[in-house]
Amino acid sequence: MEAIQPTADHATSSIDVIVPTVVGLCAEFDDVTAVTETAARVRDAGFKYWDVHSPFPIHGIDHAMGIRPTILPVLVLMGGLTGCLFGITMTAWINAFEFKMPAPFNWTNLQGYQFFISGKPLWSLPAFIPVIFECTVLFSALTTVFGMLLLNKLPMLYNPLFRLKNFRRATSDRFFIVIDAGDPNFDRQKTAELLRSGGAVSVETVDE
Amino acid sequence: MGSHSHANRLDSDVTRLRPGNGGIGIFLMLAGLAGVIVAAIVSYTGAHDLVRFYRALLFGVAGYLAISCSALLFVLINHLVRAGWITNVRRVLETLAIQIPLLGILLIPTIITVAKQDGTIYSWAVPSDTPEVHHGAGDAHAATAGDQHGAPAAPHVDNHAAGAKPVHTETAKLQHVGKTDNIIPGYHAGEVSLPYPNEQVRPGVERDFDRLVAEKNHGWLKPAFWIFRIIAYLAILTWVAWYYRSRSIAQDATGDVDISSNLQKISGPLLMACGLIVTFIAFDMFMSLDPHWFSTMYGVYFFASGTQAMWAVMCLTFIILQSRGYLKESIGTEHFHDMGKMLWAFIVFFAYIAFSQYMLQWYANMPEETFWYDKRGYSTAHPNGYTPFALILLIGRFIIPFLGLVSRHVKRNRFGLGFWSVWLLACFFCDIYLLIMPEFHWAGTTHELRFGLPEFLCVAGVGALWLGNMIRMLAANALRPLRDPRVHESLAIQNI
Amino acid sequence: MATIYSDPSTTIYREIDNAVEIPGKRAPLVLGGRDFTSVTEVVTDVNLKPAPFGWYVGFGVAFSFFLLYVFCVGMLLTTGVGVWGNNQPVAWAFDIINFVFWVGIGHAGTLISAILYLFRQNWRTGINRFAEAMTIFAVVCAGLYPALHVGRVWLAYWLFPIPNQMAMWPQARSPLWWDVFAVSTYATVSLLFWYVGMIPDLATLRDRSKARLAEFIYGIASLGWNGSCRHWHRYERAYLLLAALATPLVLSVHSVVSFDFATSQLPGWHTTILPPYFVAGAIFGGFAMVLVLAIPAREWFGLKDIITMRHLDNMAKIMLATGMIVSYAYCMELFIAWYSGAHYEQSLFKFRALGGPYAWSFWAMMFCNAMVPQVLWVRKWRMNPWILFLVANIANIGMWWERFVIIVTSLNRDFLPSSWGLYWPTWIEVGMFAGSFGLFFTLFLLFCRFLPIVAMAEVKSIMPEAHPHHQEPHKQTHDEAAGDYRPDEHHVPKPKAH
Repeated sequence: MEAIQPTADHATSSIDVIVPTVVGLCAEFDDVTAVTETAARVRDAGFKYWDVHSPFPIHGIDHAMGIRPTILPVLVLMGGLTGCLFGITMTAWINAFEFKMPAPFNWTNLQGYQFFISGKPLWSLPAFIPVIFECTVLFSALTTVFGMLLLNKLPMLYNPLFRLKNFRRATSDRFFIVIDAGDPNFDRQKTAELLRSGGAVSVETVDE
Repeated sequence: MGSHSHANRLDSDVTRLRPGNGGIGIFLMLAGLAGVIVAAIVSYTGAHDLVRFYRALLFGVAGYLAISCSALLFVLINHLVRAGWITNVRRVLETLAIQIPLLGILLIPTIITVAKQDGTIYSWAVPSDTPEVHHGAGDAHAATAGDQHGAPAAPHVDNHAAGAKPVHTETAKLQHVGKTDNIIPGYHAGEVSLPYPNEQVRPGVERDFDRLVAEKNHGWLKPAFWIFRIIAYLAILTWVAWYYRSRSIAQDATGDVDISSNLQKISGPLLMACGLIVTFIAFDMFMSLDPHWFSTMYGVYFFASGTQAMWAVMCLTFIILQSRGYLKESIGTEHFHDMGKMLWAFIVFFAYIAFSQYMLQWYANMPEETFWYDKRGYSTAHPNGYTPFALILLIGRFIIPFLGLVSRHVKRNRFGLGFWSVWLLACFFCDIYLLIMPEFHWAGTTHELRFGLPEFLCVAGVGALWLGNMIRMLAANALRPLRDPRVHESLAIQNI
Repeated sequence: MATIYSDPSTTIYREIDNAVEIPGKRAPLVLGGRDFTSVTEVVTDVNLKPAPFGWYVGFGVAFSFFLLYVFCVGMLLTTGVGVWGNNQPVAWAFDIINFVFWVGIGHAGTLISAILYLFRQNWRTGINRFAEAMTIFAVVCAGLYPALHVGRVWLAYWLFPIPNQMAMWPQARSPLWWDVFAVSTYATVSLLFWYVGMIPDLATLRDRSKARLAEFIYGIASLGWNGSCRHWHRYERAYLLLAALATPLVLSVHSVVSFDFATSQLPGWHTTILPPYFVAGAIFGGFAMVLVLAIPAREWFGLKDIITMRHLDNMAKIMLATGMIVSYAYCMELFIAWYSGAHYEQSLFKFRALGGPYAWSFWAMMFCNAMVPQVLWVRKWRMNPWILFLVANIANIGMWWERFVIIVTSLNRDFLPSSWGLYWPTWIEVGMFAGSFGLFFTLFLLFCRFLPIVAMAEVKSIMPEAHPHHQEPHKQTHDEAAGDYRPDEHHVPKPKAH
């Protein structure tokens, strides 16, 4: 890993010795405004494989980066409806219907039970609603959390960025723009220049 | 979020209704008044005398009263919690709240029926002996009468309508209260003529002595005390609504920050007072329609139902105002999103309150409570004419709009929000109908659906009066607080 | 409006009474001239620096109470439920009282993390993390009670609908079974919410810890979080969704707890307002517990700049508000009992408040929950942490008495005078109750030691510097919309040592 210093002559010299395993450029910022504005410029420059790293969600960064809304809410709605259906089926099956498993599954001995108690109808919807509701919420919440982790591809314990000493401040007080070398628009020098002109404190290469 | 740009934006904001719009308000009010008068005439010339009109008018006023009371509570809540986002829509809330005196005037006929003590609307508002007089005959009953206070459709031996069969329902038999051979003092056959009276008043006819109603008639529901309370409730609410609105308007001129601070300071105690008053309006005016029934949740139910409708009205008001070019700079999608969220939250909250009240009484299955729901067709075992309304509450007021409004895209879309607001308002009036109308006994049965011209004209007429007065009052001042210190904050809100 | 200050080093930013409200201006929530770096430092130091001696003392005390809990539970399991004082007619007593008490305490955590989030109450960020931790530990304490009350705890799995060849299913109409779902869902969702909220902060700890082992463990726990804004986008959406789910959930949980009582036909239990009344009571008691924990914690861990007087002030106001809602419910119950004319209702409430053997507990409840919180109307007293601490403790006691009143006074007089009876706890029950506090504080102190007790990422996100454009040239905005927050012009800055 070679640090690209902000001064021009250093930068040229270091680019000369870059090894092919470079995976990207990482620019450090100490100011939210600068990182947001630079992100907008990176977006406008047409980059696709790049990211901003910050210790907290920056207001307006989604727009600056051109992030499209996540489909998470749709997943959660589906999870919730599944949970609701599960709750309805479960309560009905365990208390209202003596439904036995059909032929291929009859080896399970599974069957429902007509539980008649306290003078209530077998299928007492009002009494089942609390359980149905809890199932809905449980399924939705599980979908939310695991859907978010899945979409974010977490856990991902290895990340080349973690090798950068300064990157440790991404969870504390600094902001980073990382542009992947795989991006079609990636050009080591021009990209570094773009980042630096936005007010980066430093620009480093990220090694594999 | 530089306020600089906000200031520029606000300069071109149209905050006053164009001249002539106040005239629309007055026209609407006249039309509404005409509607109410026609309702009275239709009722009077029909088979029902003015009784039907009195009842229809209470139904007509109830919904708007719930909305205005909720608006007042929300004005207070928003001052209490120093809410920022609501500032730019608060003037309409204040104007909704100040309709309370108008509705109070429209409640005068209701108050008159209580003063006349003829039981037209309230079955407890008839002269009754004190419970003590009734010791003796049926003392065994009297000892337990307090427990068996569910005598909704008492078995009648007679009815005004010739040939009408006495109603002997299973529950009525079970709950039949201690009966004496008392004859109502001062009432003789032919002296009082009521076409469709409540059970307790039947001239010259044996009356079931209802110990519970008699107790209430001499206690909490003593007619004079009741009238005094209603007037006091409405007077206090009117004062609070007037005070908050007038101070807010005063701030338009001066921009005095102290006004905001002072309104906030007194909002806590006033919220407590008004919260109690709204609860007791619900208890005294609506729950007491059936003096046998009681629910501690009823006040909260009234508030939840009214608040849901209130947010629907708010959404519609701003959609209409913006479509006419008003407040285009100060009210944005974010405000609609926020109001939509409040609307959606109250879909859920109302469902929660309504379900809790219903489920608890259904589950415990005590006759002194369940008859109230039975009357309203909630029972799957014996559905009646009101059953569709009960289903509307479940499906139309919860399941469908819950799914319909769950998406942020719908809340941020004027058309979507407007559609669901209209939908929910329609369901709200079904709820109010279901709260009130099944209590009136037509031809000896409680289960007969009664919605005709007088009822329609009362709801529409009172609505036109209410809306017209609102437009008139909105036209008199700016449509939003002009110099409230939180105007800019309201402008800057953003939903995640 | 978070753009209040352009320059965090201004003296007014350092020394300010941020509990003063100036309409139109939002008070700063992080004081002491702190920036992102020093917020990280002050919070992570709690975990990464050696624990103060006081922590060991506190942990020792808490742990010994926990041992008492273990002992009493051992007695219970080896001897049977008979070691408790439950009897007929008071079949539910300390176990259910304490269950409701602990579940209720948990609710404030969810209120702070979910409901206040939906209401855009930025001040929640200072306190939400340990309020959520409090939720989880309170739910642990709560859940143990009914689990132990089943008698044969080794068969507790029968509570779940596990398919079996006997087609023996739980009874889904039973409110107690709703509890199984409500409490386990609540525990799960609270845990998820807590953990999801903690992932970025665990990453901060990973990146700041010097010790290899700590770095490794925090590294695993933070799942490789790297602060990616693409991650943040989904993360924020997930957080919002969780908040939107947790809000009705928290209402449902205590409502379901109230259904345990309200679905019965017992006077004093069967009343329709019980669900919202229980929820309000839970939040009241929960906020009292948050204050009990927050007031010492901000002092001991040096978090006064993050949990400021404004936070305490706001919490005190929520306590007052929910206390008033609870009082409203008391009034409604009493009024409707009288208005209903129902003989049993009236007798029960007469007995509860006047003349019954437990009337004193009713008045203790009224005193603690309805009367004492009235002192919070006075700003001067709200500003005094000692008074707040005292009132919060009294409110906690009051909420415990409330459950005692509801459960014991309703049960001990049955419809038949021949089955009336009294209830007093045995020493095992008292020991278990005291011990459950030991369990709670043991877990809480471990949390304070090893996990980030303030949601650093969220605190940072509400600081003025967190918003782009805050240093844009038009400084004049501070005189217009946002303005300088100067509650007290003559509040001369004192030199402050950090």
